[in-house]
Amino acid sequence: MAILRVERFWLVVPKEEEAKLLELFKIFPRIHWERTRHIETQSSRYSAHLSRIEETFRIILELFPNKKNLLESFFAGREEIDEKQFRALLKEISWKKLYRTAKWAERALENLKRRKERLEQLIPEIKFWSQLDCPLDFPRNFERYHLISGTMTKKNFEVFLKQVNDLLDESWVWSTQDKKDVKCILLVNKQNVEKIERTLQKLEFSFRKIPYLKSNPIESIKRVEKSLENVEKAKERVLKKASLLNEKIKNLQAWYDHFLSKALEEKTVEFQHTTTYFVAYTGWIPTIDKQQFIDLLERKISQYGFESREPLQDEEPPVILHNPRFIKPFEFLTKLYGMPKYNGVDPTPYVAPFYLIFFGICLGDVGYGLVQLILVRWIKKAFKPERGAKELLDLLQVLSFPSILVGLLTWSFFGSQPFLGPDGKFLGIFPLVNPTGELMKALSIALFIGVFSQMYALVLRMISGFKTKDYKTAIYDGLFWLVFFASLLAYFGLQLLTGRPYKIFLYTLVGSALGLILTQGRDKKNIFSRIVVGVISLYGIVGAYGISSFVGDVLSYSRLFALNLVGSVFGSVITQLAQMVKGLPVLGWVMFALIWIGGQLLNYVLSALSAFVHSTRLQFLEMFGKFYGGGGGAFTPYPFEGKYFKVRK
Amino acid sequence: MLGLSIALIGAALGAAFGAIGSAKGVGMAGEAAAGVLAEKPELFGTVLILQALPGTQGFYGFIGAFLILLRLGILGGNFPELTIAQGLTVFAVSVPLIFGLFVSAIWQGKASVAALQMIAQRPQTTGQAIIIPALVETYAILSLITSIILLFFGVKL
Repeated sequence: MAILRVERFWLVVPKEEEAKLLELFKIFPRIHWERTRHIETQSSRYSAHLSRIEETFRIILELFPNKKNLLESFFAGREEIDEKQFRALLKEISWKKLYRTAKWAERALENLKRRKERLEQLIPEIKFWSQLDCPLDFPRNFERYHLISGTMTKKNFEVFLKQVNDLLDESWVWSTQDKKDVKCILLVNKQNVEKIERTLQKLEFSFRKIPYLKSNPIESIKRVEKSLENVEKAKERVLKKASLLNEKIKNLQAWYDHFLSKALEEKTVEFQHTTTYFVAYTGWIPTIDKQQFIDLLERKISQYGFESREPLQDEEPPVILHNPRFIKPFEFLTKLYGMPKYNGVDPTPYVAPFYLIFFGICLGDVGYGLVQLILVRWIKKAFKPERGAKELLDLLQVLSFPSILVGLLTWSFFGSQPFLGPDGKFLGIFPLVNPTGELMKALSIALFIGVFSQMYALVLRMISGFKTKDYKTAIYDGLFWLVFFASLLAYFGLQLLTGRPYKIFLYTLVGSALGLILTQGRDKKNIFSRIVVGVISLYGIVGAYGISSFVGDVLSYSRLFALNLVGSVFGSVITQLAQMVKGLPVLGWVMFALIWIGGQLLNYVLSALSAFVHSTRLQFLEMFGKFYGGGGGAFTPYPFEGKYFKVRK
Repeated sequence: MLGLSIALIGAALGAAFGAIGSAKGVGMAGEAAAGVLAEKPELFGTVLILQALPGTQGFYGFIGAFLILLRLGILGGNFPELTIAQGLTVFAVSVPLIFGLFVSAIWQGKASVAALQMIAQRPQTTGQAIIIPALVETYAILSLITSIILLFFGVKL
């Protein structure tokens, strides 16, 4: 029973019982509600509160960057607290106070930042005029005169003096020179300004303002630096005051969860049919939970009406997978691909053993398998993951065992093969197969697994065809291909091995080939084109399958061998590299440990990622592709839960 | 010694092209990854995996070169005398690495970029998104296997 039976139900209560019913839904989450309408809740009070709290989180994160590590951000679940503690968190401080503090701190820091920028800009401007030995608060605007200040090259300055010599009669010029440039201040008669400025522009004069300050440049710089120090101090004061936010982040998270649950409650109106006096709900409930739900209704609600029935033929009930404990982790993969249809077959238990083999071979190493097992156990304990993260970890935990097993069979420990006897074996037994030494043997095993799993996928296609009463698919696209490939392999295999194949396989081969030729083009009306399509589809250009697809799919399994090889070769390279530095004096062993541990961890992570991705690919394409289409909707209970806390009732 | 030089150039090119392809692939995915993270920093874990996927070709190139050195006995400290024909045969071993790894890493990078855009819009499709670029890697693996088979069955020393 891999897909749980569900029933459609209707529940009617008087309006005054609505609140009680809502509480009941919270403690009984295994219900898939059907939406009856869509309500826009953006404008609701709670969503406004939520967005303000989110803004506060954002500000806190900017002020006090979070030190969450990668594992934590990936796997950490919600903190578990009881309801009393949760209430206490809400009572301790109001979210509005925290929000106001955050906004105040943000504004204050923004102002300080701008002030700092202005002051920092001022320093080079003052330094530019450091040769001026007078207070910089002299007047800038005059009735008859115009002040020009800036810099140009020495050469151009001389040219300038020559060119405008006659205009400078009534002017005052101050200049100072270094090796290349001249800094100058000109006080010129307003009548001549245009001409002089034009000349200056031609001579690439760069205009520079003199900052207006009460003291001379050297003193001004000291004062600006003092102001900058003050800005830093003010910033520290603001941060100190705002540290309250960081201390009370848990309270804020509790407030967030509080409003989130209110907003979710508010949204339950989407599931309601309401009349003047009654509220009705409809949804799906697993048949095994029905009685428990009715008992609960009986105890908590004084008046109610409950009706339920089996799903109708044309309905598409939500799908909830239900497998034994050791198969359950593999549901993660089925969900990743897409849920089966309610009346279909859950492929999880059928393909799980193959996934174990795939992953086990790809990451076939005792060391890496153990690392994975220990790592998963530790992450689970340390971060208490939930939902998807937990499912992934459960899967990885199961997958460490085949990795260890394959590692034993190939006698691989972090890519090395220790304790080998003179015959190249440990105790004369291990490795049973040595992928680095016996390439062809290892490759053949991978391809054999390919052939076997392809046959198996055809069997599954046949079974799923029979189960969904699609007999044509079951026989024509399942059974015929199965017999065809089995006979082909048996006949030619025996001929290769013994030179004397059994005739019976030739008959089944021809029989199934004829069957395929007659049926693979069955959607063509013309008998001639039907047969032509049938013949071509044996090869595999058209139609659902064919010899070429079979060969391609089987070859695809060679990745099992390649990934195993890559993992163990890289592991042994790391060990060799680390051993090179072991002989160094003093730090030799430390460096050995650092290189070895770091390198092996890196290799584990890369190998595990490859193993996961490629095993998943083999399952999705080479296996699911033959018999499984997905297409069902998942059974999704309404999430009355908070984002940060798991509250024990 | 010319034979050995040709063989070593082949091994080096195999490793180098794998690394170049991976660097480009991971780099392209990295640009897209940064874009996704700017909007959705909580997707860091997934984004990291998608960015890392085109990186494996670099390792395959390294493994290929390593196996060639192993087969030639150089890792054991021997420098075998190879004829030019033998050197060229070893060079041929690297050809699938040079082309297969280089090109597949770049295309895997492109597929990763597309997958990153996919999770940026719909984070719940993470699982599928990781599979898409992984399909390209098949050809890198096939290249490596071809090279390994050539190396151990096609080269006579």
